Amino acid sequence: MKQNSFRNKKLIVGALILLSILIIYGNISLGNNNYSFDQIISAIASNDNTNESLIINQIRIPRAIVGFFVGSSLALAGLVIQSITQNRLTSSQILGVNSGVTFVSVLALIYLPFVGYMGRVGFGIVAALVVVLTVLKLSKNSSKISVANLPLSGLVIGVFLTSLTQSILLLNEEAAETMMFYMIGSFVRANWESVIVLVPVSIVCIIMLLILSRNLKVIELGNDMALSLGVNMSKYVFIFVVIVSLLAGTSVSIAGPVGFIGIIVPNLVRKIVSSDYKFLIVMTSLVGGILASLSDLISKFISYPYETPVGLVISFIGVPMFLYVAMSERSKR
Amino acid sequence: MKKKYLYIMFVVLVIISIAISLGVGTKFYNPLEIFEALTTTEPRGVYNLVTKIRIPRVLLAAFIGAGLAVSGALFQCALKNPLVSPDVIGVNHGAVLGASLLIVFFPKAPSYITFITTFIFGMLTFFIVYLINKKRGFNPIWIALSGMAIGYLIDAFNQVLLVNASRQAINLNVALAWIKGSLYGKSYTDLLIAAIVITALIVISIILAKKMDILYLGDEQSIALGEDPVKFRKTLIFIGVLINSVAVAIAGSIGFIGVIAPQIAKRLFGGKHINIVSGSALIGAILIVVADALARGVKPPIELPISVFTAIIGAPYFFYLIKKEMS
Repeated sequence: MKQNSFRNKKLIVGALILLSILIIYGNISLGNNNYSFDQIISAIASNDNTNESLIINQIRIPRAIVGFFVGSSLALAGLVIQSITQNRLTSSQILGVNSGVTFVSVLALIYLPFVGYMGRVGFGIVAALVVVLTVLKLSKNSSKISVANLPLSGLVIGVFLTSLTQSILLLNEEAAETMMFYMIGSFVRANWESVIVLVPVSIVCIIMLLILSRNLKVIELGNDMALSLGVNMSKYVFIFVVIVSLLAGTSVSIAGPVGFIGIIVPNLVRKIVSSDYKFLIVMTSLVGGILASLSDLISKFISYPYETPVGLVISFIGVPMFLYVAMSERSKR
Repeated sequence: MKKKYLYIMFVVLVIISIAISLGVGTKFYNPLEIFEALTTTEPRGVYNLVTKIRIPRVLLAAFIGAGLAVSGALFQCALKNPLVSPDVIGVNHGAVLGASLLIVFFPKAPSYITFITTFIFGMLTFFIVYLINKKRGFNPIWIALSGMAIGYLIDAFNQVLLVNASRQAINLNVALAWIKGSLYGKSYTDLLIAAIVITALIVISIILAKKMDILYLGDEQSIALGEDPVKFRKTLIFIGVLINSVAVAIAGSIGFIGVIAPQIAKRLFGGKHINIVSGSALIGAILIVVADALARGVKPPIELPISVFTAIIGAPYFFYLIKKEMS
């Protein structure tokens, strides 16, 4: 029996990996111009300066990779935040972490231009750390009263930070495209530099989470459980906070405040997976990546040949699901 | 007696904020210079600037602020919830979506159609939030949370609409001003409409204040005193959405005033609804006049959306209200 369920899990993960590769391929091949498999292969192989090969190598491939890993990272960040706050209605976006990262990135972009791309990512990670720690402090006494408190407070903090961001951008007369990027988020700005930062960070975080999966489970089950097992959880909580900050800080610095993936994907995956946290972590990262890539693909075709910002596409799927999760959480208590 | 002085003080504050706000802009004039310019017989540059542009705008800001605040007070009474207002539960966002749809598909529609559309869309949004919460009871924090989520969804629709519309030659700036709230380029006609309609509705609300006190006691007390609480609640929501849609149709969506002004009023003027309604009208007017002055004055000639400043002022206070509601 156990053997059998293990094989099922392997099958599911295998199928999802296959699906991921297909969608990433779709994102490379489809868009304003469509490229065939042969064209893509020859562009990668030759790496010359023709238009076609530049678009494929410098735009399409990094964008497809970044889209997948941003989705995957935000979904994982959501999963970990939900576990450490013991609240299914939270995510890095809902708690204002994404808005905080965006705010700091914009500050760095305008007032500290010399720090460059990597510097902004670094600032983003620090900002995420600060916001997560603040929110955790706030949540300590509030979570017992109502599950809705923390998300509502977080959303309000988010609106506040977003307004600050917006005023800084407007005061410095940034272009509409920059505004759109920092308000909604998109994968359009992805390049190889972002791939080089994002992919290692998110892979290291996944491995760390897989190693620490048991601790995550204990933390989610609550303090009493941890005490009875004789484990000091506060050390692990801090490690998880760092992981969340790495995941959310990097992906929001690179793709802007892409919303709702972090809250809906873990909730979706939990409908299928219950107690096996390793499986939960792998599934969340795959489904998050698939959802983001798929949304990116859809965003290219909503008003073809123009692109719709991917953050909007995700909101259309994300908000109704958020409401559904919220209302079912509410009925539970 | 004490309350009378408080009212006088706030009326004076409204006048002071208007006087200062009149001076703010590309060039700053102090209130004395403005007074001097207005009293001279021969119209000069300052006179024209102040009378043609700044006066309608600043007075409009005051009326819109008063309207939004009273509309929030009505919502808070009807739903017995200190955390709601048309903007928190998404009614504003719905109204703006209506206005944007109108701009995109019927750009030549006359302005009264805009009022009707913002009203209908505001009402629809209210019903959606109502239906979502109906089955599970009207818990304050859940209503606010689900309303904010609906607001996000509507905003996403709106942005898709505008992103697509901006590629056709449609006045994107007008539509964007609605989403973020703006008092730019308002005329005396706008001022006149807002002044008449909003003042009338505020007066009606003040007349209804006694009944609101009874409603606030609870449904059983209301019925015992011969009132129909369900019907009265509908009336309050109807008036609230109406004021709000006039404000949105003229100035776009301006956040947080509707939710914080009534709470500040309650704290300063006491819990009777006659005081909550009139107090929040004064406080709402001051808040928006100040926010608008900041929006114009931080770095002229750049003009920021008012919502940016109402959020910077309002979000921390709203946050405090949530914390208070929790304990």
